[in-house]
Amino acid sequence: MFVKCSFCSNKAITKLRYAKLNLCSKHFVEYVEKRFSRIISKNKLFKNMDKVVVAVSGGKDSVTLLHLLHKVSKEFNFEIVGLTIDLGIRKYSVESIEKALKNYEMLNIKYKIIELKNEYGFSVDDIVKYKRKAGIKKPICSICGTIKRYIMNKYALEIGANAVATGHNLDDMVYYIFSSLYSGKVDNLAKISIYSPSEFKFVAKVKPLAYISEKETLLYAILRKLPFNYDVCPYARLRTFHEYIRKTSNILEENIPGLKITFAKMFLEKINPILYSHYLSEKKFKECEICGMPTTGKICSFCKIKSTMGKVLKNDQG
Amino acid sequence: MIKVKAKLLRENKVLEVTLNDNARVIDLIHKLGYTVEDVIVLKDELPLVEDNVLEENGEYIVMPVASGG
Repeated sequence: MFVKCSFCSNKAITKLRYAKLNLCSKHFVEYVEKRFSRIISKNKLFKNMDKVVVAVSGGKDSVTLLHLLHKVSKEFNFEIVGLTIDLGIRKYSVESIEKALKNYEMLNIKYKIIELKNEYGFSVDDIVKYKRKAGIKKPICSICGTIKRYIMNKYALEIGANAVATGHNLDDMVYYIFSSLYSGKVDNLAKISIYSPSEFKFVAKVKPLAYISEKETLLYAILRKLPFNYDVCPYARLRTFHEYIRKTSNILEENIPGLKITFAKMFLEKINPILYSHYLSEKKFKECEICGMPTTGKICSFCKIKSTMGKVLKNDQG
Repeated sequence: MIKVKAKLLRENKVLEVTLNDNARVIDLIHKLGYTVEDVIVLKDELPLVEDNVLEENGEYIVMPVASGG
């Protein structure tokens, strides 16, 4: 005896509690694709855009995003260009890049791979190794995020793209909202958005998977047999707080189906616009004195990391 | 009571789990300390709905969803 799909007589492979649906493989894939397209239309995510950089790490979320965006790019009339950053995290980076490449080739998409070590002289492994010596106090995931955002924005500007699309999913959004509330970082709360417009030398940032859960992106990748790296970043294991929030939100979701979507939606649609108008719209950016990219101080965060790492690595070799 | 094998993909280990007769996929998920949002359970390479009844001596793959990347 098996559970039937809500739309046909085939065997269901998943139950979407929040939508009160049991879906077979075909109808689940269709359901995700339709929702994705609706999210883009409703939020006007790619309005007046002709070129979009898709950040592809090689994990399930970014690979799913690449395939979904490839499908809708004709309908919404924009070109996509893949960007993969080789962060230099041992075997994890090698495996991730290999998977990203397979997907680019499958879809015949233009892409660029930027090697952090070759391009800027240091890797994420170097930062972890010399973090204490370099006096870097921020967690490695936060440093890694700064590096990725800088490279994505710089590359998008260089090729004249209008936006960078990233694979942040519903679970990521729930975590960012909760952790920013918890730590009282109002500036961060104001930045959490499904669409951040371009300003100064920042291209727009788009998160089209913001209402699609991590479980759904994984299921989509499995059912479509997409190549992706299932390994966990070795440094992500250090994020205990993140793990507790994720587990707790999943317990709540199991007992109150739809809670994660409602929580993210209410924040993004009702609360964020108010915070944005008070805390971010007046923010003044200027060019970094070293690289010319946007910053609120004299030197941007990326150049500070690069300069610190340059000195530490030089001393170590000397 | 029934016995099933659960292969935990990320930990790369197989556990033998004892559950009540007519236990469902959701019972296995809970017994392993997860919620339905945390994992996908597969049999013969196909994901299973949490309401499906488990088979005696069945072999199930338990795939955690979080990547943390």
